[in-house]
Amino acid sequence: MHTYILSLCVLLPLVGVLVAVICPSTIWVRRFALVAAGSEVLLCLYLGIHFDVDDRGVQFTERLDWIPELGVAYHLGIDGISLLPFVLTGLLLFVGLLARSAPRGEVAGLLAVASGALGAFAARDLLFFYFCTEAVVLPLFVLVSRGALRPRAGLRMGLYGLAGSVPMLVAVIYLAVAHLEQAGQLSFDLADLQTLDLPLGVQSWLLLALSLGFAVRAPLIPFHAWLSAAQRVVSPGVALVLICAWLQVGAYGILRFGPTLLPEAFVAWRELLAVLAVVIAVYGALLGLGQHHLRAWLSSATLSQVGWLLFGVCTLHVSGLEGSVLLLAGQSLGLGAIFLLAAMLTERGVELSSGLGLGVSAPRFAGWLRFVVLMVLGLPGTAVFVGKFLVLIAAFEVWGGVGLLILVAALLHSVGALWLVQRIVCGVDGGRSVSEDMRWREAGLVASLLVCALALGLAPGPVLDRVSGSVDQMLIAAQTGGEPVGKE
Amino acid sequence: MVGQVQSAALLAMLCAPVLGGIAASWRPWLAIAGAACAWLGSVTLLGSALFGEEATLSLGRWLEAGSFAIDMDLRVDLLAAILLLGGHSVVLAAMLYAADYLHRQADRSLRFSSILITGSTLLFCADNYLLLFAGWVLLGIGSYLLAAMDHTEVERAVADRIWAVLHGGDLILLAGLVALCAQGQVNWVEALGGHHWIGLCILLAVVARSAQFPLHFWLTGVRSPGTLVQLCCTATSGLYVLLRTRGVWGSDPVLVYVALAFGLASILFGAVSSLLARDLRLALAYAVSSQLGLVLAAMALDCGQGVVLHLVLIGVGMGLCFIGCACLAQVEGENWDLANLGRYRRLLPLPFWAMVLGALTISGIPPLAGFWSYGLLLTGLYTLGGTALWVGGAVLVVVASWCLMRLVFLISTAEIGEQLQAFRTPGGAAQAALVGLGVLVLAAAALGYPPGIGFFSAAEGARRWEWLIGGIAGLVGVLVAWLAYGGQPLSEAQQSGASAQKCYVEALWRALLGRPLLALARWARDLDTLFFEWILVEFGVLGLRSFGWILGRLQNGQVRSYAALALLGVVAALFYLSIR
Repeated sequence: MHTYILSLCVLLPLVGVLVAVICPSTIWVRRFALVAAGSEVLLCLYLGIHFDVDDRGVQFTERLDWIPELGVAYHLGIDGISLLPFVLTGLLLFVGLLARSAPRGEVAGLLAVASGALGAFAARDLLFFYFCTEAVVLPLFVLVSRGALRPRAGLRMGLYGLAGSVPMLVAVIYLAVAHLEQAGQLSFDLADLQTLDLPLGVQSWLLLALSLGFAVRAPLIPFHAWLSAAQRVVSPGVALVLICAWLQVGAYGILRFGPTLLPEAFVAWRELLAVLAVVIAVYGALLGLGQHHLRAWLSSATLSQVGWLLFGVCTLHVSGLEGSVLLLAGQSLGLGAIFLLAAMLTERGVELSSGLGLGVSAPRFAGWLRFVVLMVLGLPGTAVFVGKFLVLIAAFEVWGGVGLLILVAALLHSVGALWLVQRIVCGVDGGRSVSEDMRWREAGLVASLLVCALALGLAPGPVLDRVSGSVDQMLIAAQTGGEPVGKE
Repeated sequence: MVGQVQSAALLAMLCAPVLGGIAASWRPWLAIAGAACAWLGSVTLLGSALFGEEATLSLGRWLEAGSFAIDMDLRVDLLAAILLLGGHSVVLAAMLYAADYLHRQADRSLRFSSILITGSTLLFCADNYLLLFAGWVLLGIGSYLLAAMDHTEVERAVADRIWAVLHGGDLILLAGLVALCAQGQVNWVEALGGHHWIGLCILLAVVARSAQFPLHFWLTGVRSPGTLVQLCCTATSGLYVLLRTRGVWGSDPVLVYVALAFGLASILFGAVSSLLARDLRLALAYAVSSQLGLVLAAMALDCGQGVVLHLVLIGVGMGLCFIGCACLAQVEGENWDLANLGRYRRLLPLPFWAMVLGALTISGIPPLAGFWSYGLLLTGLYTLGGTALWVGGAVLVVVASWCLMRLVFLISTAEIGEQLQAFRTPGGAAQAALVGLGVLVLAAAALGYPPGIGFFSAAEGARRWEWLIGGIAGLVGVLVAWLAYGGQPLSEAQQSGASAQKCYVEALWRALLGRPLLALARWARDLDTLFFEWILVEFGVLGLRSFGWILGRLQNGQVRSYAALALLGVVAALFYLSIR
């Protein structure tokens, strides 16, 4: 079972796509997709439970030469850092499919995107990772463009994605060629590429190129314009998959490849990157201040949260990196829950904007909205709370009191969020009342995400145990580029 | 056996309110049952703490990253047990009141009150700073949710203010606590000191939370007495953190003076505002701010046991005043003018006398508990700074007593208002809340007897008559209030002069911080729309089109593909050379 479990996880959604293409009955397509996604969740849980905490390396590895002449391999494996986003992708796919009785095309698109995201998280070959991240562009483009209100949203997202992938591809190829020069053979394998000895200047250029690719997906300033356009049109399922396939993959790329593949450059530039992260977090929070539409606020919130995550990675400290992993999970769950709520109301023909009087017309929705927004802001006991605390501990240990300046972003972010939520919830509705309050099934979906976030926050031990080994490995890799930080 | 009982009590305090709060949407009384369980737990823990048994409970490791680790440990000593009982009693009383009066919204109010109880339990029982901070934040969130419970526009504005001030304080506190944790001081029992700015962070956070001048407006802006009683507990609990972290800031004279300055400013501003206020709720809220200023100043001067007792008395005594006042809302509607509340005493005797008992307690009238707390505070001052400080403290007690007794006398002599809404006497639950808090206040008084031998002993070096000055000052305050307001209702001249009173502190904050921030946010949004959304996208598209057009022209017979390829080759070569 262990041998092919990752392949099973990655390919199972593709089987669903195949069924969706072949099978004429939409109901059966949906049923099969749900079964596939449910099995995916179970497989992911199996992975999480059987992950060996004492093994610091990559586990559940599978390798198959794909194009031997070019050194490209179908190489999968999971370590502590990729385990959590991998599991969450399975969960978000399942919740996304349950959220709505989607048409056949949408079901197929969701499954295809999830498969690409799972492949990206499990990839141990850089070209295969690139292939997976690019494979999701087309289905995502179609899914976002299906919201016919703004057909340009999908186009904009696709073009941004492609623009980001060009420099990333250049960097990937350069690394493989460099391996050819130094070791005598082409290789895209991450383990091989980590052994490369590249001068600081080259590493810096490559870091820039890779960062551009991830900056579009995460997204970072100035590549965030696609997000607000896309968020306005997507359905609940697509919103969740958008988070795991693009936002999570982008953030994961920053976390994964910067410190390990190009350690010297990352160490050399990390102060600048940290400043950039603070600027992004503050800028995102400022954009969210005084917003009147929840979807507009969501894109600024995403920006701000990614700023926190990048900041945690830049500390190159055990607490910072582990905190970043928790933040990535917590934000995905929290933002996913808000996306779900927003999309559920959109399906009722109501946009979450100020003056809605949601507390009067739909008190259950209002209660959940408040709770979920508080969770994204770092409600005590949730993953975001613990993640931010760890990042702050690391920032203080690395940069002293200056490292705590990012709290300004937290303050602006939270004031903006609650300001908007109050305007949505309070007051009398201006003739836009919600026809039906939250149903039990919908509440269950949102609650499932919240329970996960609470579990991660109240008992982060099992997750941190699994992450710590990989973080240690990452810090050892970064050691070649500078002093190791935060490990006694 | 004792240890098991203590552990069970701690677990009950943690879990029962959470479960009750969740179940409140199904059966509201379950939230009250949860709060009652928590209250019983706090009684148990106080009982064991009085016999010198410190309760501890370890729920295992919370998080561990590298060399940094924090456990989920709870610890209840005597200080925590006293504050737990006070806080839980007041919130439970407020919940009983809500169950009696707020029929339609009772479940929402009870749910949010459960958050307050959980937050206060975590705050007072936390063994380390992270748990303490979690409790602190939960209290703030509960207060914010309670303030906007009715979903009205007015409440929204109040809740915005509360969130901005309290969460600003939260993050400042977080900065200080993170610095302490990063330096290895994870538990409050290890508080050994640190940089000046860490202490300053803690102090500023407490100033914001405990409604000290000039950040008092989050509390005084609330207009629902039922909510005010719970927010009063939140404000009171803020000072607890200052008590716990005295090792961090207490050794720094600058910080001590800063705390003293905030405390004195709050006492004076709160007292003057309360004396000028015509609105009963506003007068009480300013009196709370003034009292909390007194405690902060006493804490800065390290006045010992008196601080803890007085902190609890503020919660319980003001709880009596606010719940008594809240019952009035059902009779008078929106009429809160002190000049027209004459019927209060006649129509609602129990709430009225509960309010009088609360006011007398906080005024320091013997034989009530305020007499002991003021006595302890003033003897502490005498020991620290001699006669001058002692006399200064006595004057402040006179002012505090004057503020509260003014309200009692004004209501007693006021005219009967014209409009009378549907009259309703308090139900069994509200009466039980008032009687319960009254009993608690009287029980607290009994702790001090016989004088000098009872639970609270005088500070070392102080003589008996120095100790009695607290009670005497309280009586002087009552006398002043009687002379000023006891004989007759407010005159027309006083009414018109007082109604013009307005406070510009909040407007100042809005002008200094709120508006510039909103302007900056608008500017950022404009920049985002103009530059990133429009210029970058449009110019990008234009650039791509131009590039395509040039390539097209090149391939259309002029230089054909050769030139294009050569151009690309040069670019590639330059790129390679530059990274080489």
